[in-house]
Amino acid sequence: MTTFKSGNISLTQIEEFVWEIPRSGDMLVPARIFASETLLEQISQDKTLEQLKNTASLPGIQKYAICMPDGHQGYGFPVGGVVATDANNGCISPGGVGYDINCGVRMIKTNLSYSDLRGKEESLGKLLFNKVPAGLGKGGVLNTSLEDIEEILSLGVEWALSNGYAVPEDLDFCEDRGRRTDADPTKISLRAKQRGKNQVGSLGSGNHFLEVQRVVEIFREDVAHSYGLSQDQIVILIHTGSRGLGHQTCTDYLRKIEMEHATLLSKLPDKELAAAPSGSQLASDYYAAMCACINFAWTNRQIITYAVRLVFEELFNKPWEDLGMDLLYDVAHNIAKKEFHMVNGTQRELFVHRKGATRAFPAGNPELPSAFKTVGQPVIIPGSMGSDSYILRGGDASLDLTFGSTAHGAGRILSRTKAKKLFKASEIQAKLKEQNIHVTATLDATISEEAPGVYKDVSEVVNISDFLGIGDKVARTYPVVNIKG
Amino acid sequence: MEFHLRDHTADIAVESLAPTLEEAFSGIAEGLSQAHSPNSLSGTKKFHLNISSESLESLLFDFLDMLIYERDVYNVLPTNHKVSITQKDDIWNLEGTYYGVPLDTIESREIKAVTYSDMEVKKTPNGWRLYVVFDV
Repeated sequence: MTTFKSGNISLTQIEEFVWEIPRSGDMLVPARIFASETLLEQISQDKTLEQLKNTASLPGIQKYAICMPDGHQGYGFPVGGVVATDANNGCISPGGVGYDINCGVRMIKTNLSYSDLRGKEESLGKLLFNKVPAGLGKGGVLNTSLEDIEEILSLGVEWALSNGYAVPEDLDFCEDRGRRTDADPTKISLRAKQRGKNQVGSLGSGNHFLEVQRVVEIFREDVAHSYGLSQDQIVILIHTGSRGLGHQTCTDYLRKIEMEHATLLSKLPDKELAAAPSGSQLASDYYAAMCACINFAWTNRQIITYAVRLVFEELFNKPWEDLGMDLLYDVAHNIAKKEFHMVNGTQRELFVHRKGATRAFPAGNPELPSAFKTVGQPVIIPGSMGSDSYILRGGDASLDLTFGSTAHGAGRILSRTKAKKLFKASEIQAKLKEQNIHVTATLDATISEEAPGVYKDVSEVVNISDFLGIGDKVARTYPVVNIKG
Repeated sequence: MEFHLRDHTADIAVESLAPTLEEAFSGIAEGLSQAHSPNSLSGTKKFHLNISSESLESLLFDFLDMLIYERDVYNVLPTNHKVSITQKDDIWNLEGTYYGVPLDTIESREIKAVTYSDMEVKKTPNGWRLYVVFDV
């Protein structure tokens, strides 16, 4: 039996790329890490494993606490974590969703090939940077009122459709058609709404980005064909979330839970695991508020989509429809959702918390839009600004192994403070330019902190997903133009 | 008072060391400002805060949350922090001021939120040590 030791935590290898931390102390279930030995060594460098163990003590947790191959230390929960709790006899935890509720990515396709874009990269970068607000305090693509925010929270992408910023097909290719109907805007504080008011259509900063990419490799021709992806095709990736509105909502509920469910909290090993018991008023209020933030984040990504389409129209002097700028899919990676899963032979309703993990439902799942019913849903795994990104499809083993989930990115290995000491922004930018990658950022510090060297090898992450059958590789893309907040 | 930005894999941690609790609170807030923008900035417009919380830890959390909230709503980066802290029965109260730098005059990164993760509010032989992780 292969074992791995990290401090006082011992792991046993169950099968290839599957490691387990057995139950001990307050853990209600074991923890499982899906990783190669190399990735596990990186994962064990910080508090990821300790945080994962802590999540295993959440009331009602099912099967095991899960860490994806891109896992790293977060606050309370590890990033790259999946925790499924009993929706009727467990709890829901805002920390298991994260401050950036429905942080996620969407991919827009085009019918352009790389050669169509050559020579235009600088202009495209400038146009995108000017059109899509990035960083802090730059406003949003739209000027919205508090009344608009109320409607966005309730209607999601349907609001964008009614106001001319979306087409009906955009709804078809977004989870839940871009609207969580469980949303209740009255459960969101005025403070949160005020923060969101100037941020509709904004990237923010940190690891958020807007990236124009080219498809450089196809792994599964049939699936790629169904998704409308082909070699050399230009695609656009948008990575952002619910902005200040979501951050404030998470903060508000963390404090409410701290005050109202102090007894439960005192039994948990970390205050950031604060959870509302299933059936409590706060559990239902948080779920309704979180769903409203999810609607806001989908609308935010939709409004950026609208702006990107206008930029391409300007650059190529053609309507965006003629450029084939349709949505591939919009996937969330900070989210909780009521889902039914089989646990020990019984179907149970669960709160599936995916914090830095992506839903990866396989073919045949009734939740999927008709276009993906026979192939499985697209899963978008962004790499760093100097490395590949991947498009996967939900794998057959995901429902059994990971509550229908896979990884969400490369996952950091280096802190921001260390990155700034190691990488100089101008050198990174020059090096990337040699690789024909054009990067524009509001701050030099962001380029250093998000340098390719701070992330794990995304190829290894997706290879493990592919091997385990939780998310199968479909295509690989490479950056052309990157905008960072 | 001294503060330092500390290593965290994905986010940013701030440690503040000071002889008094008030200075240590101000130190964390200065760290929050520096985490936004590495440049030394000084605002001109003065803002006032008044916050009450049930414990020292929650007071620190609510104070930093308020600064992040006001940053987004007033469109300023809070700098030059001063606070005074009092306790009455089980309630801690903070009165504070900061000077706001208009966000449209600077390039700044966004800090999403304050967290309780690994938070420390500790009396030491030399004064106070505070430690806070911010979500980036």
